[in-house]
Amino acid sequence: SSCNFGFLKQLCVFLCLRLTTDMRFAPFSCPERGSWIQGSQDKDFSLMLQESLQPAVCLHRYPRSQIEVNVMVLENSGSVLAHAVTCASMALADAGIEMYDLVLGCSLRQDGASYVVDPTYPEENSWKSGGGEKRGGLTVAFLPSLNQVSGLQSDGEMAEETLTAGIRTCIEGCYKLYPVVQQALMKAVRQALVDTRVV
Amino acid sequence: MATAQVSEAEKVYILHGIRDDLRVDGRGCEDYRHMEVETDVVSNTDGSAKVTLGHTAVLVGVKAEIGKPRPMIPDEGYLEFFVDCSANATPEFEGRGGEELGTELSNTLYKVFNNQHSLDLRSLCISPGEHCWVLYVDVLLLQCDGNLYDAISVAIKAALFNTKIPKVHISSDDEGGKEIELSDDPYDCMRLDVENVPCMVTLCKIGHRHVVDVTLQEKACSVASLVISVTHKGVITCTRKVGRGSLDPESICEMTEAGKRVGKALHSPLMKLLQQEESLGKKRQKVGFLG
Repeated sequence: SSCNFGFLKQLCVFLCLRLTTDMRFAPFSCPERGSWIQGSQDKDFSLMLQESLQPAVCLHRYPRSQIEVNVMVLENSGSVLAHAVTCASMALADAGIEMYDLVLGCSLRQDGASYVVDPTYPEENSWKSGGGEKRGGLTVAFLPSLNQVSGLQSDGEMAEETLTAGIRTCIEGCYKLYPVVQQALMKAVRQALVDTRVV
Repeated sequence: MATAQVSEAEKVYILHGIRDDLRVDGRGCEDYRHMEVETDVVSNTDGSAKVTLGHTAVLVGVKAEIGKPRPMIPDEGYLEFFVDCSANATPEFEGRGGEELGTELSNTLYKVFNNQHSLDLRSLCISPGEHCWVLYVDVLLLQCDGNLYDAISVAIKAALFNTKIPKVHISSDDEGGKEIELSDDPYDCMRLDVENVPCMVTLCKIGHRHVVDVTLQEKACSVASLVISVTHKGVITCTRKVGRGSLDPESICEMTEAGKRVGKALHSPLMKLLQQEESLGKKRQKVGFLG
């Protein structure tokens, strides 16, 4: 599946017991040119992606097989992990892999007393200058109909109340995203039916 | 991560015990195993520490080198982390087996320190835009019996406390360039303020309860854990969900609260211990296999 979230474009190819994930950034995806060789941060993203997707896939239905999920980020304009999770779970659904629920990702940037949901690249990185507490970022991967958090990562400095409030806000964001993703999948299924009938 | 083979009957036994706040080794759900911390164990480093938590052993060495500051932040030094999971810890780490775990650990460490207050990076600046101290923190896993994050964070805090960075004098030479002179006196050094360095607490969800400081056996019964890094003031600098399972939002709130409580309580005994060890000075006996 290919997802466009504003200027963030991602291509998720689902190739085919084990769920392995690989997340790569194209060198032209970020404002500074990256390299084709996977750095340690890319590997960490791949690991977080795997941890977020694994609870949702019915792995016991596919014994003695391996599911490989490859994500290629074409353009990074912020919240890349959250959108990679959503894109990957849509790809798994599109491929017909049995899942307990869709996994949706949502991220948040806290700056002092205010926060922004789904931050852009400048919003994610502008806080490095200047001090102050309660500055940080949070990414949540959520299964809406099961009410389970399958992925969580945060950095920066936040009080415990701020963190839990941020998690709740991200969960609300995932609930808002759910119908949109469902409609997109239904549209794809209908289109596929139409195509097969025409042929 | 290293895993232990646990039968279904053992899992049920561990689960029922934890439900009644009684673990296999007699601890409560929020109790740590016996922890030993020793600093200044490796003489070739600028700071080092070894932490033994139950059967988990971690060795951290800090080396300070002069380098160029990052272009975006010219008036601060920085830290580089590297975690080595060698085959000494467990046979599963042979070859490239431990690479994935090492990447996960070092990336989490970058996130833990990725804020303004954990360490005063401005004190590591020598001349803005040109020279700064870069602290290379190398973590070596000697033995793995669960709860690596906690042991590593305590070891890093102890090693940074022990780090002695030589004082520098900048003079301009004849051609107008800058010359850096390191002080020859081994006692003329700068120490780091590690008051705000966070400690990580790993909470594993086993059944309906969360447990601190799990052994490998207990970890085999859990599907998901939450790693939280907490400063002495209770500020959370990094969280990360680890493991193949999922957690529900109420559990996460409970675990965050418990993690903050446990993490906060970890700092003052640790600082007291480090200061006590420092005050022993030359009379200190080196224990352990590096003594």
